[in-house]
Amino acid sequence: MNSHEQVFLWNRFTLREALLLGFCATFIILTRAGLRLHLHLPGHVMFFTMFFYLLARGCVPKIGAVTLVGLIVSLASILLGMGSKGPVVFVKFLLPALLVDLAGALFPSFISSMVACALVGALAAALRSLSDTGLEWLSGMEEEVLLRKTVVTACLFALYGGFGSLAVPSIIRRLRKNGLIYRGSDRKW
Amino acid sequence: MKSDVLNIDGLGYRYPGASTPALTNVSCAIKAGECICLTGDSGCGKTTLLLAIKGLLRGGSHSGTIKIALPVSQDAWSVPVGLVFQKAESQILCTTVAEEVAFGPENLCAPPEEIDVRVRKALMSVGLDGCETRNVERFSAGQKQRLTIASVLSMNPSLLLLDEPTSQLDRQGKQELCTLLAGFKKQGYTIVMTEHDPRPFTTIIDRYLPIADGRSGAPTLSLPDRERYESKTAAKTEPTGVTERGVAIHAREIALSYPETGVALKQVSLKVLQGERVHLSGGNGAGKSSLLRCLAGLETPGSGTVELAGIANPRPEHLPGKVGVLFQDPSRQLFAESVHNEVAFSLHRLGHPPNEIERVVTETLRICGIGHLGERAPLTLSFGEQHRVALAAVIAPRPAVLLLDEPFAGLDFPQRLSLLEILAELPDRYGATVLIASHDELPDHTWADRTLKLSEGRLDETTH
Amino acid sequence: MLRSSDYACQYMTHDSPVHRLGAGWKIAIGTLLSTLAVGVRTPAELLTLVVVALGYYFMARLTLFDLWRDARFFVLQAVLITTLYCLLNGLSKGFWPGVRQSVQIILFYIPGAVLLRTTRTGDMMRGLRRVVSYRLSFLVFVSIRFVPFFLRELDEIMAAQRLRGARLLPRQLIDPRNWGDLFHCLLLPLMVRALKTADDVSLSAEAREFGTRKQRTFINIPRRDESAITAPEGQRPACPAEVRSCCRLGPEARKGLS
Repeated sequence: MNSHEQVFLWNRFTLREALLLGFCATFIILTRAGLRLHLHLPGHVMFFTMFFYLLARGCVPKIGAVTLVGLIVSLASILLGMGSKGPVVFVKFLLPALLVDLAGALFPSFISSMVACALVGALAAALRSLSDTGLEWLSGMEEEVLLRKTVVTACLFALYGGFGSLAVPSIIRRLRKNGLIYRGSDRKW
Repeated sequence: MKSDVLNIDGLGYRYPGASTPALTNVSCAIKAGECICLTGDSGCGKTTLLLAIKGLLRGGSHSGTIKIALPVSQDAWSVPVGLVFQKAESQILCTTVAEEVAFGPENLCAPPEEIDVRVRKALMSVGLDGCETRNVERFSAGQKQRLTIASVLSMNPSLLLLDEPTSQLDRQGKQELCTLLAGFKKQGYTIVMTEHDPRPFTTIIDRYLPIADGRSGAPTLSLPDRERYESKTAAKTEPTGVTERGVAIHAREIALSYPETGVALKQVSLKVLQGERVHLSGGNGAGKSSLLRCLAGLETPGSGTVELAGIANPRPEHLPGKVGVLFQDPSRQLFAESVHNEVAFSLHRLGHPPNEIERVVTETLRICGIGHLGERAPLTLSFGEQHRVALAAVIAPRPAVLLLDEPFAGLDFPQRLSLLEILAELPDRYGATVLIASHDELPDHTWADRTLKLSEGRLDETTH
Repeated sequence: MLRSSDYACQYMTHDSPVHRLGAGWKIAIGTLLSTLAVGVRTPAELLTLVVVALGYYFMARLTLFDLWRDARFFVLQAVLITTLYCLLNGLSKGFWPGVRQSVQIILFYIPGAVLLRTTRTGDMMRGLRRVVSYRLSFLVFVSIRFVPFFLRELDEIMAAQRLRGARLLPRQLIDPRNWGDLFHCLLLPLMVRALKTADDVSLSAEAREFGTRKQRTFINIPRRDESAITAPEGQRPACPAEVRSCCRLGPEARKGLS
C-alpha cells in the first residue's frame, strides 16, 4: 500500500486490497458451487479454497488478509444458501484462514516456497475438517468412532489442500514479474 | 458572461514510481454550461487529467492548481464533480438499478426520502424510469452506460466528467448518448469528456482540448486533426498463385437461442472463401459474438451445421493451428512470463521443433510490430501493446482462418488502422481468411472484400 | 444470484408463519434448537426434539420432498456412522448410539435449512447490515455481486485458452500433468482480472464518496411480492417472472399463488 492511500478496513487494508480479498472469496464461492455440481466428492473443495487463501496472502501480504477472506466467504455462503450448517460455516472457513495468517505472521516469505505452501495448505485443510469433529464430540459421539472418522477426513482434506497450494508460488512469481503485485505491501495502481 | 466552473493552471502529475510525468503544465479554463472534449492518442494523459479533476489521484508528485467553482445551491448531500468511467461493467457495484443509483447519495448520508427522490429523478433523466427493480445483469451496453450516468447524476454534480463514454457502444448507442448529453447541456450541466473519436458529438462540443504526451495544446473550436478520422486505404494485393479458392467458412442455417435472452441467431447461412477478408457488422446484441462462438465450436447451435477450415462441426480442441480466434479484450488471455513465451505457447502445444518455434515467433513479432518487446513481461505493457501480443499469439500457428470479435474496442484510431494493416497482410502472406466482427466501421473502408450485416439474428450480405 | 438447482435449502416463495418471522427470530430459534440437539441423550428427549424440529420445519409449509433434499447427505452419513458403531460395539450395543448420534446431527442442521428456505437473500442482507459494519457488508455484497461477472470472465478466458491449445476440459484435468494449464492459463489470468477489477471498482466507489464517512444511509427497498402475499384473494398480482424462475414451487405453493 502506498502510504497515501486511505485505510478502509480494520486499520490496515485499503479499499483496493479489501476488494481483491473479496474477489478471492468470490472465486472460492464459484469453485465450491462448480465442483459440487459436477464432482460430488467430499473434501475436494479444499483444493481451490487453499489455493485462493494462499493466493490472497501472496497478493495482500498483511496479517488478517486471509481471515478477512474467510469471513467474507462465510457470510456470503450463508446469504447464498450454501451455509445450511449455520454458525459452523464460520468455523469451517475461519479456522484454516487463521492458520494461514499465523503462518504468514511467523514466516512471512513462506509463500515463495512450494514445500512451505503445501505444508501450510495441508495443515490448514486438515484443521478445517476438525470443525465437524468438534460438533460430533459435543453431541457425544463415541471417541473411537470419532477418531477413525476424523483421521480419514483429515487425511483427505490435507491431500486436497496440499495439492491446491503447490501452484501458488509460481503464480505469485508471475504476478510480481508482471508488476501487478509487490513483495511488500506496496502495489502499483 | 458565464463564469469559470473549472480552472486548471500549470497542472503536472507523476505517478508513484513512474520515470516520466503523466501530465505536464496542463492549463485550461472551462465555463459553466460548456461541453469540452479532450482528444489525443491512448496513453496521452486524458484519463489522468479527469482523475486529477475529480481528486482521485493520490500519492505521486503534483504541481499546479485545479479550482472548481461550487454551485450556490449545493447541499450537504451533493458533490461538485461527477465522474463516469469507461467500463460500465466494473463501475456498476449493485445488483439492482435503484440500489446502484442510490449508492452515491447513501455514501453522503442523504435521508432515505431524499435518496428516493433523487433516484427517480436521475433515472428519468437518462430514460430508465420504471426500471428501479430490474437486475443490471440483463442490461445492454447502452443501458449500462446510462445507468452509470444516472448513478453519478443522483449526487447532483454541476460538472460531469465522462471517460470514453462510447467505447462499448454501437452507432445507435452513440447517437442516443449524444442526445442525452445534449439534454444535460441544455439543463446547465458542464461536460468534460474524453474521446478517441469525437465525431458523433460535434454538434454539442463547444471546444476541443488536444492532449499529447501529457501536455495540453491550444483549445480549438473545430475537431483537430480531422483528416486522421478519414478512411485510409491500406495496401492490399490479391493473393498470388491462387486460381481457385476453396471454402474456409461454411455455416448452414444456424439457429441459436438462449433461455434468458431468447433467439440470438435465426437461420444464419454464411460462406467465406479462402483468403477473403470479411467484415461482419451489426449493433450490440445483433448476434455477432454468438455467431463467432458457434463457428468456433464454443456454442452448439440448436440447428444447422458449421464447417470451419475443413472441419465439420468443430470443437475448440480441434482448432489450434487451424483456426485462431481473438476475443474482445484479448489481454485477458495473457499469462506467460515473457512476450516470447506467450507467442510460443500454441506452437509448443502443437509440437513444433524448437528451432522452428524460434523462427516463427521472431517473424510473428516483427509482423505485429513488437519485435523489440520479446523479453518484456506481457502484463507490464500498454493496452495497445498487449493487444498486439495477443494477436501475435493467435496468428503464430499460421491459422487458415482468423476470427476477431470486436478487435477495435479500446484502441485509438491510429492503433485501429495499424491493426488492419497487419490483418491485411495475412491473406497475402499465408492465405489466411480473416473475419472481423465489429459494430464500429472499419477505419479503412476498402479493407473488406465483403461486408455482412447481422441484425436481430439475421444476416444480410453487402458485396463490394 | 448464484442459486443452483442442485442445492438444498432453496428459498421457497410462499407464505407461512415462519416466513413472516424476522430473520433475527429465526436465527435465535435455530440456535436454541441446534444447541438442544447437541445436548440430548435419552430417547424421550430425542423424540421430543424430533417432534419440535419437524413441527418447525413443516410449519414453514415445507414438504417431505424438501426435507429429503435438505437432509439426504446426513442420511448417508447416518448410515456410515451407525455402521461404524455396530462394527465396533456389536449390533445390540452399537445401534442406539449410532442412531442417536446421526439424528442429533440432522436435528442440528434442520433449523439452518428452515432459515434459508424462508428468508430471502435481500432480507438477510438487510439483516447483515445491522450486525456488521457497512464496510464489511459492502465487501460481502460486492463479492456476491461479481459472481456472474467472474463467471463470464472465466468462460471467456477458458474459451480463448482452449483455442490456443490449453488443456482445460474436466477429462483433461484428471491428468495431473495438465494442472499447470489450469493454474497458469486459467487461474492466473483470472487473478489478473481480479486485480484490475479491484482497481476499477475501488475507483468507482471512491468517485462516489464511498468510505469517506463513518456511517451511511440506505434506500428503502420495498419487499418484493409483499402485495402478492397480503392482498386478498382475487386481487393478487401474478408472481413476478424473476421470482418464479428462481424458486421451486411444490403443488401446494403454486395453488396459493394462482
